[in-house]
Amino acid sequence: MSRLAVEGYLTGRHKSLSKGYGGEFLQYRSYTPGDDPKYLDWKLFARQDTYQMKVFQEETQMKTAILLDASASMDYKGTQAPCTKFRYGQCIAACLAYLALKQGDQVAIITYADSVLSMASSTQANQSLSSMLAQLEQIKPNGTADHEKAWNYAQNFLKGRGMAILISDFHECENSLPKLLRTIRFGQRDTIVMQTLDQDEIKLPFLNSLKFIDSETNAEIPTEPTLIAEFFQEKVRDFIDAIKSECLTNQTDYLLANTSDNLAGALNAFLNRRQPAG
Amino acid sequence: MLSFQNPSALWLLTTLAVPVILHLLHRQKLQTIVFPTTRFLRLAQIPRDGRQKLNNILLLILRMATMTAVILLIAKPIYTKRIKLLDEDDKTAVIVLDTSASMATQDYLVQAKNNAKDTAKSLKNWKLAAVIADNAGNLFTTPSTNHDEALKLINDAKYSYLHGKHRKPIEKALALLGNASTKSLILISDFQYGDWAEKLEIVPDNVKLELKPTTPKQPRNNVAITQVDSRELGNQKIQSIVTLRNFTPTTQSRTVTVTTPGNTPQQAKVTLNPHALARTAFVFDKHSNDGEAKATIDQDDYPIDDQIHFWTIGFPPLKALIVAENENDEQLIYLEKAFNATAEQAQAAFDTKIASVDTLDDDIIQTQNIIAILSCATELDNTTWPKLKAFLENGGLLIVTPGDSPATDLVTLKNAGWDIAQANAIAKPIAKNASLGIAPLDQNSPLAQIFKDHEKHDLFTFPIRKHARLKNHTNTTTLLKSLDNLPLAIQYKHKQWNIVFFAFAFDRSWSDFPLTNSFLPLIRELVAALVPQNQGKKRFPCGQVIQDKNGNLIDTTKPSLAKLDDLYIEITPDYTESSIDTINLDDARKLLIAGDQSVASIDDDPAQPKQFHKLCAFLAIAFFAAELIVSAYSDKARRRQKITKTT
Repeated sequence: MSRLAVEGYLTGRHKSLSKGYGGEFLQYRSYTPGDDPKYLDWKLFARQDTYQMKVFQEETQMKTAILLDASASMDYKGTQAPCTKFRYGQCIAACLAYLALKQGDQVAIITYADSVLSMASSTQANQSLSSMLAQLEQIKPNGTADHEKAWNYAQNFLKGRGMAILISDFHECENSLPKLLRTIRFGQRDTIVMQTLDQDEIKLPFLNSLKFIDSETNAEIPTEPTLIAEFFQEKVRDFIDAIKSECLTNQTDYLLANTSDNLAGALNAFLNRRQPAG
Repeated sequence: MLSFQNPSALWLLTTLAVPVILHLLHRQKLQTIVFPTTRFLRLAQIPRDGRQKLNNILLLILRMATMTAVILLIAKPIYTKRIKLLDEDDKTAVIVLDTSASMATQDYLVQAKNNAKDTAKSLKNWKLAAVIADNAGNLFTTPSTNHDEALKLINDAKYSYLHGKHRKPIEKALALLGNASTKSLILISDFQYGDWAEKLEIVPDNVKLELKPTTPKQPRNNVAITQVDSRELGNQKIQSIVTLRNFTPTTQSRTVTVTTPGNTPQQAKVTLNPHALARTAFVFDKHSNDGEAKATIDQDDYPIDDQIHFWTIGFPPLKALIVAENENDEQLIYLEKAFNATAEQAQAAFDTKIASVDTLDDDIIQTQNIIAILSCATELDNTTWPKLKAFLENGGLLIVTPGDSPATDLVTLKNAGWDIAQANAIAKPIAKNASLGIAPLDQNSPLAQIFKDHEKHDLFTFPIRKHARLKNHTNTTTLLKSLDNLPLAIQYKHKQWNIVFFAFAFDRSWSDFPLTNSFLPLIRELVAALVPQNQGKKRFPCGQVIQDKNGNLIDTTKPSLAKLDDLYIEITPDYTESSIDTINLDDARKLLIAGDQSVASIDDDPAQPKQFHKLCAFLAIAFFAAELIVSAYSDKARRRQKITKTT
């Protein structure tokens, strides 16, 4: 699944932001005293009589932690969606993990609800992608989501710089999210928030009177969806905007993944956004 | 007074609870859905749309009304105007009590009498008359407010042995009703199919017709002895074949007891398949005092046909004429020997004559029962064929065996205009050691009756060297076939014609057919079985008018034996009464009532029951159409409402 979904995107290696003297040529810069004359471009000096130093892109190995929310609210499959939100998240996580591993990066997938349910990382002994995915496959969504606890656990893997990808619906965490994002960003970590929602959660397209039962709190609300749809959509918009705004404030990439949309489309959007500048 | 022709259908009204229950269930049920979060939802008043609710109730009512109308249509309601019993002098009712033979079934007559008495009680101030349906309608009382006379006639009524014919009794009853202002004709009968199949159409519209059927105790069963065929055997014995018929749709078993003069009664147990015939044979010593004999079976629901009287005298021998090319013909000698045999195995008495093709004259031909043309059909001249045709028209049996050239024989028959003779040329030699033999066709064939387990007899396995290849015609039956399933003897029977074609001659040049005494009974029995039975006897059903030469009527009111001039006659029950099938009351009404039964004519007559089936049908359709319209409107309104809400 992951291999199919990322086909065509694996066009280059991950490049380190730090420039150095090993790896791929990046640019010239003027010679400053103290520079290693080994990197002086003598040919250019011969042609133009200027001292230019060759600058190379340093290739590094990056760590990526994928945090997948497995709370009960993720176990929802809408009327138009092909799968549950959790399943959708699983697929995204699998694709990204495949992509990262192909690049030679280290990757860990952490699933969590009110506690960490599983962690599969490529650094563990004998851990292949398939065994990571097999582990991922066994998770059944349940309970509420404790993002902070999950991140604390993920730090064991992502101690230094790296990338954290959060896949969740982020329900009930507008208040805790800013702090969480700040904490993640503190270590100069690249952070991506993929808010996974079902079309039903955005539009409330039901036509008949229904009794809604909250998947996490079991609260019951009998209502007439057609009457409150407008109100609902507005509330959901506010919620999404709040999450988006927090992400922006904390220099975090935000992506809304609608489970009714094609998975490849969601990945495309993600990867396009992740293209290095230039 | 409202009543129903099919009241049991009213039980279907209980199904009206189904839409009500569905409606209630549907109303109370609110679908639930587990949703990721409910924090963006808010309570909203579940719409209790008054109009929608009204539509639902209207739909429910219309559905129930449709179902009610359909159920009433099935129940067939009729409205009979309540009869006013007081202060009305010119009201006359006639009870016609069916006493046909089928009323002997179970306690039908007792039921019918009780029914008549109850009816009489309900007609207190009416003039009442009674007619006993004895075919002629001769037993009756005149209308009177004193019901005693009518009730006495009904009480004294006995069932007859006659086939029910109700036209005359009903005509008599209608005559008795006269010019009364209110007329009521009450028919009490078992409405046995045989009695009521005829279209009478004699009851006018202004006569209120009430049909009161008797109720059978289920299950009814009836097995009848339908005939006994007796004949004199050649060894001073008499054979009686008793035929039984099962009128029920189940397998029945009966013990047949035959009592003949001078002999101890004999019994045999017979099992009959549903609606099938079965035969069983009895052989008795012949005595000089032979005469009236009786066959009975165990009594069942219809006892009249469980006993039959038959004659054990009066059997002239079967007259057989054997025609051959010459008197030394081998098969002539064999056949003559077979017919004249008086051995133990001899099965019928024959008076045999021999004739050559030249000496056949009309006087000889027309007095015979059997004529055997042995391999000489081609020798018969053109004048003989019409004589043989006349012989066949008179019920004679013709036996034909092929000559040296069977094809020529058959062509001769065809040329004589007998299209019945169909064959592919033939006399094809068969391999010398071919063992074909004869296999009687089935268990009901005459040969199978004599030679039970014939497969075990070596007698039936012998080589046939050549044979005519016979082809079955529309009206032919295969009497004998070879073990290879080739027809060896076929019988053509159509109208009066009765011809048997053999595929081979009784001659050693054709086969090793065992021309021995052991095989004589085969030919004798086969021929005797094919000749119409009861030579010298006649059989009539009860009720048949029979006069002797002097114009004296013979009593045929019950099964008995009689002598008509020189002829022995047997009066048997009328077996049309033996059927257990009854006619539907609606059909009986249609058969009886004269003219068109238009709604208008029924409405005009206050005594006539009014039927509502057309109204019920109309209402059912109307309610259903209304339901569809309301349903469509309701859906449309709901859709419109949703669109409004979503926008």
